[in-house]
Amino acid sequence: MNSQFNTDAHIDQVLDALRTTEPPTGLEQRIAARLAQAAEARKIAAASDSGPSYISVILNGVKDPCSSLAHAKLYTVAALTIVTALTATILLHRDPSTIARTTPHIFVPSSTAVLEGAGLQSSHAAAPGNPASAAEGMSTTATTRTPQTFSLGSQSTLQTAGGLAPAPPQDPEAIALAETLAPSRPAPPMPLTAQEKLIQAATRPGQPIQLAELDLARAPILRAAAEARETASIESYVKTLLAPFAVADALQPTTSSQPQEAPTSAPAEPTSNPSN
Amino acid sequence: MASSGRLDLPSHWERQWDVAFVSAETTSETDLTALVQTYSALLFRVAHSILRNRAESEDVVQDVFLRVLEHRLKLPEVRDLRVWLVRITWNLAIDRRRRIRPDQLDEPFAESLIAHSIPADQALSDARQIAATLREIERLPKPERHALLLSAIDELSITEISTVLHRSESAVRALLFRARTRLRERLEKGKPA
Repeated sequence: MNSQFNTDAHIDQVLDALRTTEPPTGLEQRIAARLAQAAEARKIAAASDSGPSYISVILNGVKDPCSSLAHAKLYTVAALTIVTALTATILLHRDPSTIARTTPHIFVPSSTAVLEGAGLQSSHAAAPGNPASAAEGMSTTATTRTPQTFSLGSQSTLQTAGGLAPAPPQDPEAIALAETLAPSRPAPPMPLTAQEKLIQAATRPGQPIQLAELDLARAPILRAAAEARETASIESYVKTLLAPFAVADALQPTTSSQPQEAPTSAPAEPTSNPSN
Repeated sequence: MASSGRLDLPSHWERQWDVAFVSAETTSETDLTALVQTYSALLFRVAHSILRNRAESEDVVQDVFLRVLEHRLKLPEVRDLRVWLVRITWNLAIDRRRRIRPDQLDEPFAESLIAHSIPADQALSDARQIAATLREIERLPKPERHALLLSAIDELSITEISTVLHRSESAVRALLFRARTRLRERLEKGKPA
């Protein structure tokens, strides 16, 4: 009986604990926050969805022309914007060789010179060292890549429609975009001048005297230094060759004098002449 | 059962029900906040009776209200919002329970029920008894287990439990009686002599 009482007590204890469980503090706030987050996500997802389809617009237009006029205007504006943007993109991404032919000053780094070469008048006074101005210069340079037959009178309109509107002065993203869209400038295939050819020929063998001849002002000094260096190298070479003889002289100082005397001390002449 | 099809509820529950139902007809976020304030504690207890873990139960309650947000346009069609919410919570908690090992949930809950003022040996014995009780509850047949756990929630009447479990009130009472008897027998059998 006692054990049954204990068993029931344990069961009731568990069930009472489940019954009296209190929710954690701030539960409602956390739920509300999560609901708000989910609602925001749903709004963003709904906004990203496309509006009414063309078919529904047409059907609504058949039913009620006035109500569908707003949608039709919206689609027209959107289509025009897309077409203009595509046109601007195609014109901006043309072959650079074509641009090189049409704009001969395309490799001049100054944007002002580019505008002058293309025969344009720019209202932007690009100050050197100003990144924003440099960005504007980049965008105007990109605009000059269009052929001469294309009318560039509405430059700002083109930039606005193509999504390349002039960036605000301190917008780093616009600067980065302008730098990305800037045309590449390969090295011009110019022939070497006579002086460059002489330098190239002189530097390859590495003769110091020939190098010294290049600089007319310092030629005598360099020539003298080079000749002195050559003389010193020759003397050191000769000394290296004569070094064994010098060592031998140091070890046997007498022997060195005897050979000189040897010819003097010629063998005694025979007193008796055999012929005599 | 009322003539309008609503359940027979106590007066304060009826007021909450009316508030919730009226607010459900309008789909603004303010009304959803009212639903949260009205039912979050109840739904937390429902989930906790299954999961026996506070963090998991809170996650379930949040999921329930996310479901409500998703189906907020259908809320006016719901006859009994309270039972509908309890049923969603119940099903979500059961789904979550399947993904978690019961030992992870029951042992901390059993330890939390032990009083700290009793001697250590008695506390250990009580903890074992409570853990055995929770284990035997989980071993009960599913209808009996569900009826027993739902009956532990004081705010739910037999009528509401029968609605949640899709059974009659008399069947729920029978399930409760059988669950209690079976649980007592098993605990007596498993108890050391």
